[in-house]
Amino acid sequence: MFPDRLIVPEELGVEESTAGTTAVTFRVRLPWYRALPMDGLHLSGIAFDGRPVGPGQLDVEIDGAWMPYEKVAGLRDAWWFVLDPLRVRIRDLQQVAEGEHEVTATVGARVPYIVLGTKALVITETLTRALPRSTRSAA
Amino acid sequence: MSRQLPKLGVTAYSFTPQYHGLELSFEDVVRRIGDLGIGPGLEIVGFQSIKGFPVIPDGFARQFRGLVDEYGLEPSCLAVNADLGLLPDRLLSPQEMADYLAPQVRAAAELGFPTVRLQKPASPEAVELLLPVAEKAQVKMGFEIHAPDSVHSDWVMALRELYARLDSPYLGFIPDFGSSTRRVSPSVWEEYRRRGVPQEALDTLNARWNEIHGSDQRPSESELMGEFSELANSLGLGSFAHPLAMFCAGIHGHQDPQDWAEIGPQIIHVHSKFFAFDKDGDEPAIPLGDLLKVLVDVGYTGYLSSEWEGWHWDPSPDAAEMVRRHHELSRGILASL
Repeated sequence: MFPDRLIVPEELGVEESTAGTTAVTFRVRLPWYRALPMDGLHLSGIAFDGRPVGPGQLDVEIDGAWMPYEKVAGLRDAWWFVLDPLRVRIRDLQQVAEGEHEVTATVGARVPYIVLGTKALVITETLTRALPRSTRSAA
Repeated sequence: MSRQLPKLGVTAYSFTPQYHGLELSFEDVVRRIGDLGIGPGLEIVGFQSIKGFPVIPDGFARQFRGLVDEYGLEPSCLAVNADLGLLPDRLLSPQEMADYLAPQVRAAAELGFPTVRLQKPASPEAVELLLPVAEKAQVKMGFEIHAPDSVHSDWVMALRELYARLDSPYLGFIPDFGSSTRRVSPSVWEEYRRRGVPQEALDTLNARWNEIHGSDQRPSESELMGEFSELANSLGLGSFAHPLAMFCAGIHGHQDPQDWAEIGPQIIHVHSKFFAFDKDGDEPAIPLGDLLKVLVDVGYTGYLSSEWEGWHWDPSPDAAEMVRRHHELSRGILASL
């Protein structure tokens, strides 16, 4: 649903660590019309400038704090509201140059009221979008 | 004395493209409905319009009731969700489902909605457990019958038996007119032709839908989805295969409009589904005249909640204008009955 909105068209956030690695942040939209359980969040096929990014390199921002993506499945009673973009962070990148960078993401969620057999439907959408690097950087 | 007719209304779900697109807030949607006079019935989806639902945030109920009063709107139905697959590893039990739905029913009462929309995954067992909550809250519970289901689907028949046994005025059904279409909306084919899908492939899907429609076959939802998915994939439609299969199998149903009469006394709300209009202002996929005649003949006087869902394939039209045209069409038909 609404695949063109999947990656919010705005500046790519950049975080440079003292250890010499760089992280980038961007926001994604829920590709559905109502709030869905956060533990059903599905991120896959993430790529930065065409290079695949593993799930272990991803964090998501839940209630203002970063959480490793791989721990989100263990959340209970947390919801992704339909109007709230979700901030995603890709860690452990090499230097990120000025200019535009291509982000690819498949974002999905479990739709708990559509049950096929014994499993709830998981919907996904995929988008690639070029985002300009922010001129501000945060350590 | 003129007979009483159904009342017009709208579901805020019709505004999904503009709401999801952050062009209209929930308050904007209600104000737009009020300004354009496309009520008076107002339906909302709890998990869409209210952050934190079924908990109602401080001040929300007062603000909502104020908006409703300001425009003379009438809360018609709160669409709640039967999230059977809420947990990642197993399905909810009937007792868990009843416990999950109870606060949603109470939220309806808090906001002034007389009715909630339930969905198929809430089993008869769960609803029986939930009934005392609805009776205490004085909120009616209506199961939505949505394409490809019909009044004869197994789960609907099970509910009809339950309703006969319990005989409660708080139990009913909500027909969705998408269950009774006469063809796949031509707007689907137009949109996918525009996106470059070969006409021959669209014709093949359309022919199969028409073949099922003209026969006595009434495959289940999973059978229909399986068949149309396989067909669309075999036509090499790539990423268009899934949405096209879903539109053929899951949004355009085959039930005879007259069949709604079988559950006439139990109809407590209606989703007056529509997709698009032809050049004469008619809705080519929905036999609205036949459907409204059935409802009037069974004495239905509740709300017709206009539900525009053509946005699934073409989100560009203005939702309010689409609903306004649908009200115009509905009003004309009702006046002629």
